Amino acid sequence: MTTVSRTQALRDLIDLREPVADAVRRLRAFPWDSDAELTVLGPGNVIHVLDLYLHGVLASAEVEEWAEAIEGRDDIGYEFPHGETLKQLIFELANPLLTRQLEPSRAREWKDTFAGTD
Amino acid sequence: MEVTDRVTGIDGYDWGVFGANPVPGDPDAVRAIAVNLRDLADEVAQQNALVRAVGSDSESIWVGPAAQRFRPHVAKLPGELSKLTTSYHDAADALDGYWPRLGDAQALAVQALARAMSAQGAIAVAQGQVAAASAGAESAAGSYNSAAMTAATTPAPTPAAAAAAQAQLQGLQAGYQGAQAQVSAAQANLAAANEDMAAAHHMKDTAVANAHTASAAVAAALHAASAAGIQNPHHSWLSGVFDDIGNVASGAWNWTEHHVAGWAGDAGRDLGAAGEWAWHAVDNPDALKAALDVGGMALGLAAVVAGAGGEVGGGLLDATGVGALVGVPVNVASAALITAGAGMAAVSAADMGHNLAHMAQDADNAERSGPGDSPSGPDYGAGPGGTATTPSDLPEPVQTNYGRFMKSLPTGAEEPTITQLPDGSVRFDANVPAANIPGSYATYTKVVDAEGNTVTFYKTTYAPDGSVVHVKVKYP
Repeated sequence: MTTVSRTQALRDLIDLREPVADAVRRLRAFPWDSDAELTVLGPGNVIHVLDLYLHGVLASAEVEEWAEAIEGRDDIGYEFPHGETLKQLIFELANPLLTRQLEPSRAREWKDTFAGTD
Repeated sequence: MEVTDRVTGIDGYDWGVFGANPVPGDPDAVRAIAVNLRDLADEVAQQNALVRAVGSDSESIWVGPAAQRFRPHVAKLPGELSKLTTSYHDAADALDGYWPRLGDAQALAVQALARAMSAQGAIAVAQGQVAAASAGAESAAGSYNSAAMTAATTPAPTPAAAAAAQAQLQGLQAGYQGAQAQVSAAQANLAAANEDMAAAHHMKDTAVANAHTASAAVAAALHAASAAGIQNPHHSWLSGVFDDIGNVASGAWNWTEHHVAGWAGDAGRDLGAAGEWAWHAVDNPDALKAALDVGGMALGLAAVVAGAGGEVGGGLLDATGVGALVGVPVNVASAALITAGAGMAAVSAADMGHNLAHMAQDADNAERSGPGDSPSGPDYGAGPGGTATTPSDLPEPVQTNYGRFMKSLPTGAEEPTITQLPDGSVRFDANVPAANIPGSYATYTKVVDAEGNTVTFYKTTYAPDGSVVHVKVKYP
C-alpha cells in the first residue's frame, strides 16, 4: 500500500465517493499513525455532505457515520483558517447524543457559517 | 404493461402465459440480509478489537491479577471472531453479487412477459383474421361455384345474357381471390405473432438460465464463506433437512446454520465461562450483565438459526430465489426473523464488548481495593492496572503520538490522563462532556506501545448514570 493509495482512500472518504463503510475498510489496511496530514477537510466537503442530507440523499445516521470516520484521524487536517470550526462541526455530527441531533435547520445553520468561504 | 430496469417482487404480475413466475425471489430481501450480515460482521469486528485489547498479553488495556486469570478464557476468541467477521463479509459479498443478477433476470423475465402478452394478443387477433378471411374465402368460393354451375347447365338465351353471366363469374372469381389473399395475410400475421411468442419464451428461458447460474454461483460462494468461518461441531435438525433436500440451495442455508449456530455455541460457552468466573471472583454486577449479554447474543443467533429453519419448513413464499429456483420453498416471515435475530445478536455483541471492558476495569479496581471496597464507577485517574504519568515522562515516540492525540481531540476536551502500563505501553484517556445532557460524556481512549505506535483508539459514550451508551472503535 502506498501513501498515494492511502491519500486516495482518505479523499474517497471525505468526498463520499463510495460508501463510508467501504472507505473505512480500505483505510484499515493502513496504520492509524501518520506524522503528516495527508489530506485536508475543507468547508466545501462538509457543505457537500450537508447538501446531500438536505436533499434527502443521506440520512442523519449516514452523516454521523461519515463524521465518525473522519473524527480524530491523524492523517486528515482541517483547512485553514476554519480548523476549529470544522473540528467542532465534525464533533457535533459524530456525537449527536452529546450535542444535538442533525436536523435540516441545523444543517442550514452550518452551511451559513461557511457561506462565502468557497 | 410497465417494464422497469430493476424489478423487485415480480410475483404480482399475471404469469398465466408462462404458467407461473419463472424467476421467483426478492432481490431486496437478499440485499437486506447482506446488509445485516455486513453490519453484524462490522459490529463483531469492532467488539473483537475490544476483546483483543482485553485478552492480549502484549496489547492489553487491562492488566493485573484479575486480568491474568480472565485472559485464558478469552484468548481464543479474537481469532474465532476474526473468522466470523471474514465469513460474514464473504457471505455478504456473495449475496451482494447475487441480488443484482437476480434482479436483472427478473427484469428480463418481465420483459419476456410483456412480449409474450403482446404476442398473445396478436395471436388472438390474427386467429380471428384467419377465421374471418377463411369464412369469406369459403363463401366467395361457394358463390363462384354456384354461378359457374348455373352458367354451365343453363344456356344463356341471348348473347347479352351470356356476357353478363361471364362478367358475374369473373367478379365472383376476383372476390374469391381477394378473400384468399386476406386468408394469406391473416395467416402471415398469425405466423409473426407465433414467432413473437416463441421469442418471448426464449427470453424467459434465458432469464431462468441466468437466475440458475446466479443461484449456483451464490451457493458456491456461500459454501466458500462457510469454509472460511467457524465450523459448527453440532449436527442439528436443520442439517437433516438439507441432507434430505440435497441440492444446491442447501449451501446457502447450511452456511447460516454452520456459522451462526457454531459461533453462538462456541462464543457463548467461552464467554459464558468467563462471565461466570468473573461473577464469582469479583462479585461484580457487570460480570452478570456480560454473561446475560452473551445469553442475549446466543438468543439472537438462535433466532437466526430458527429463521433459517423456518425458511425451509415454512414453505409459504420464496424470499431469496435461491431455494425457489431449485424447488426449495422458503418463508418470507422467517427471513424477517433472520434479520431480527442478526440485529439482536449484534446488539448483544456490542453490549458484551462494552461490559467486558467495563468489567475488566472494575475487576482490577476491586482487586486493588480489596474485598468489600468495590468502586462505584470507572476510575479514570490512572486507568486500570497502571500508574499515572505526565507527558514529559514519556519516551519521545510516545510523546509524539500524545501530541497527535491532543491535536485530534475535539474542542472542550478535558485534560487527558496518561497511564503507564506494565508492558511499556501507555494509555491516554480524554473526557469530553456533553453539551446537551449534564453528566453525559465521551471518553477518547488511545493505547500506544513503547515504540509510539497506536495499538487501539476508541470512543466510549456514557449516559449520565455511568452506563455505556456505545463504543465506537476507530482503530484497528
